Amino acid sequence: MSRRWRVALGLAPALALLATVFGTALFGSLAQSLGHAPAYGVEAFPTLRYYRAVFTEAGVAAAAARTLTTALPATILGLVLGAALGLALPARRDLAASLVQVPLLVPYVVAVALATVWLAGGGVLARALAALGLIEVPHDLPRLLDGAAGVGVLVTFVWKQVPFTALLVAAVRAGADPRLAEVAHVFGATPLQRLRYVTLPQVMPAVLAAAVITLAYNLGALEVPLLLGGGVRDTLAVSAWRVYADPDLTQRPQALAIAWSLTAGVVIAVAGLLVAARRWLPGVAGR
Amino acid sequence: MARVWRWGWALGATLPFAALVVASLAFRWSWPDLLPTEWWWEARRTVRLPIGWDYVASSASRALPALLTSVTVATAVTALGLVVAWPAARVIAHERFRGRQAVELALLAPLVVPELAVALGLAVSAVQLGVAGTWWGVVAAHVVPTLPYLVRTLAAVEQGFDRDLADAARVHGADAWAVFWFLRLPLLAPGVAAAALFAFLLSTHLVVLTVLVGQGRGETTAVQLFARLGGGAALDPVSAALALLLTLPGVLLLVVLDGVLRRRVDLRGAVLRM
Repeated sequence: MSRRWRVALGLAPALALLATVFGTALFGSLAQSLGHAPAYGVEAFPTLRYYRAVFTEAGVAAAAARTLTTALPATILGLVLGAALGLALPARRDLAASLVQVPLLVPYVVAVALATVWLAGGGVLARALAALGLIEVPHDLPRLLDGAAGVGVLVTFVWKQVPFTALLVAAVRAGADPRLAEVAHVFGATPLQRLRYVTLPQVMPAVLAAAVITLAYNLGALEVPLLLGGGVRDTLAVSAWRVYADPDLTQRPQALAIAWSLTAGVVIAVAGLLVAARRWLPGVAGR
Repeated sequence: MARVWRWGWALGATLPFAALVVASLAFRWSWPDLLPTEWWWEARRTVRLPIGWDYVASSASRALPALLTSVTVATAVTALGLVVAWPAARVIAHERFRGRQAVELALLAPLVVPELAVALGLAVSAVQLGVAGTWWGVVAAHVVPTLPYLVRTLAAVEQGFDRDLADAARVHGADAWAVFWFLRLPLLAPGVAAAALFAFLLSTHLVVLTVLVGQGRGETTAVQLFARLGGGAALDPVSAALALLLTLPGVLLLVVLDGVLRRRVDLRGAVLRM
């Protein structure tokens, strides 16, 4: 078998499946968002009406803003804490390093259940504060889950994603050359200088990889903002979900237009992140 | 200092689950008690099992069929995922060819495109392909998000395989089958097993794809929990029990990876999906 055939045959199943499932999903939904949806009684292809609505309706603009204010703080906080945890994980894994991974291994809906049992109005946190005499009724605690502050969403994202970044950072650090830090030490670098000029540049590729994946996830996530946002903090994904669930099926192309705009936004954000990294973090590029 | 920080996170990662256990075993847990006013075992005369677990075990909740659906779907997703991803990973690990970057990018694309966007699109194309509301439709949909992860991990596993060994075996008369069975399989098995376990786990986590493609038929445990949550109210015992049930596969996986496969698997850079 020639090499060319080996390559083609090896890649064919994966690419075929990707094209059938992922490809039809994307292009089918693109066609619908442009008005081709006979199943829902909409035959207006091609029209930009639904995209125009995305960019003109106040509700959607607010959802776009909330998508950013939900995703960016969670991503940045998760990266900083995750990198710090990753640097604290030993090369030889101990029990703590194993336990740290647990949030990574449970689904987001379980994280939502945990956030609910701890942070809800009458949850464990409120009870603990009451036991300490700090509050008297559940109402005394600010609404953490469904209030406008979105604390529950932030905490859930961070709790779930810190171990992810930490593991990537720890893995890259374990593979990095330890002699560099030793050399820096010999030449009189302080611990802070070693961190700034040796360790951080070594683990930056891992932080970047984690940044790309967590940012993309947080911008497009549905479960967490839907279940913990309390209906007052709809992100783009949540609005698309709500419009899709509308009994009026002719609204569905609108949901797809929102989803496609969101996808485009995520792709632009990720590309921007990679370009920025290439520009300001030389040496990280190409990974 | 590093140790305190590390153990702090270890506790923060695991301790919250204690509240789920308590919530699932409480009979009455009223404000402002930190622990249940009445535990299930104090009310044994009224209820045989803790309320949450009793409901989960009863046929009314459909929790056990849902768990079965979770497991069968995840098994099929893992099998199908391995069949399509392994050959591709092997090519990516060992061959140089034109368009390689494009292929790698395409295989990573499901990581960047929101699951919701894929699911909304699939909800319609699944109807056109005749797989909406079918078990197979859910399986095919689940393979998409597992693909980037499987290809990356398996490519790393394949890269660790010394191809000179295969050449040496061939020189000594081994045919393709013998090379696979006696050389590649034993050497690659731990890495492939780890990849497969993660694919299985990931499939049990997916909610949005399952709801929109399964259209009610693909009721997995994750979907059941999803349907019960939200609204800002305190967590009910049934949801607590379902959440614990859903935590189990991940914990088992951690035990298997750390205990059984520990020495032989290098998962460096393999964790791609949260």
